[in-house]
Amino acid sequence: MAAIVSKLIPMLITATVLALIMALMMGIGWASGKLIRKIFGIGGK
Amino acid sequence: MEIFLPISGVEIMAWKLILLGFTVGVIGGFFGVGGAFMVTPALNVFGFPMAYAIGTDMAHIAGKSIVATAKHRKYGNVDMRLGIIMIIGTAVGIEGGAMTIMWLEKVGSVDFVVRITYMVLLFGLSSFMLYEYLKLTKGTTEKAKTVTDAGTSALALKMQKIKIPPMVNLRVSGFSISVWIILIVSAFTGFLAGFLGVGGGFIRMPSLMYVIGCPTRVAVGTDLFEIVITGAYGAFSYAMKGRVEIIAAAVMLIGAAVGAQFGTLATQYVKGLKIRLYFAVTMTLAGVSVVFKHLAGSYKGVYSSDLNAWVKANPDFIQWAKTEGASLGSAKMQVRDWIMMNKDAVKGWIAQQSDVIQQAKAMEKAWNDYSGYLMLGAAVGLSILIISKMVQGIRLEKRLAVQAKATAGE
Repeated sequence: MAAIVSKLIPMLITATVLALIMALMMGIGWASGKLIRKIFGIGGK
Repeated sequence: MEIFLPISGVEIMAWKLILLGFTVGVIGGFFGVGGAFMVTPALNVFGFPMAYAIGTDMAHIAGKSIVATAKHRKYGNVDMRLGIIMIIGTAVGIEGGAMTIMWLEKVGSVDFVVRITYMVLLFGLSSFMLYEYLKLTKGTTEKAKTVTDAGTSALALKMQKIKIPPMVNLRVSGFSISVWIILIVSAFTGFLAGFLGVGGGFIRMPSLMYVIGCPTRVAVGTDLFEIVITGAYGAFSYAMKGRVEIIAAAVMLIGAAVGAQFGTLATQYVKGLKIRLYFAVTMTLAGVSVVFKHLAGSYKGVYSSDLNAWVKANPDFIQWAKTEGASLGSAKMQVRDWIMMNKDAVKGWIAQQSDVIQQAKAMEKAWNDYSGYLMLGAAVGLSILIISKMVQGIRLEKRLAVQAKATAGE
């Protein structure tokens, strides 16, 4: 049991850190997309 | 501002990483590729250790592709059905390619075969796409261009006529095709990706256009969707091995997240045929970069057997191979990995060798640097071109809208 947990914890931490970074980048991407459309004066599609 | 990367222990200027991320973000969003063929050599030029460049690049690719795919999906450029079926074929193909590599390693000619295949593929694909572009635009003038995208290729039409059940209706792409065709094509492209040790976006994107028959923009969006899955798996796998410089990946991603917005938006304003032309030029440059790498490899051949023998006899290596290196499998992989992680020790060994070996090492580094600078220059140049074309397209659209309004007013 301890062996399984010791292997699972690093995997979970790695996956969580990667997921957090990806989520943060999604946010940056979304915000920059809005800003770019505003700068160029294009809306929607 | 210099940032310290704790895992690899190097310091690197943050703006370089942001700029690289941005340029490759533009290119990735525009072509539907991960761009590892540009990022990895460029990172190496910045002094980033190769052992960490691949893993860090993989994490950056996964994040950038998520941002670009989300945007492409909004534009209706992602064929989810096609993408999901392709993932299955790709996974099988990558495994087959990796197994072939292991077999070639036993035979002993792996590096040469991989590099030649890579060059043939890059130059072959780019030549074909350039030929197709010239054929389709022949006789059209700049002012009266009627060709915006290539139609379905003859090969794709033949593929779509094969009615082996089960058939799948690809609504976004606009045709029906046998699932078997998708699986075979994706397994083949996956095999090549696994064989070459690359993400494979640059093989999949043309295959989606020329063999399956997707419109250019759908090929770009669907390929990016697949890169999200493969990139995320790759990033996780490398991170578990401690090969992802998470700070560098995050800094690069800041640039890439913004760059991907420009690249994706540009696909809405640049004609499909032009996207194919720029892609062909990128492939040609990538091919030249591989030639440089090949030249670097030939200089490495002068001293590699002596270096390998020294590594195998080194007590530090023996100790490392017993513990951390054990997970890598073959002795050849262990030696390669140890060399990448212990650059200073290798430098010390080189310094004690004959002039011939020292010169060969210097030439190897020079050709590797040329390859990196070429890819860096290509990334910067192409992203400037893509953004300027996008701006032109937006201006033209606005002008046409004003004209249409004026005409309606009259």
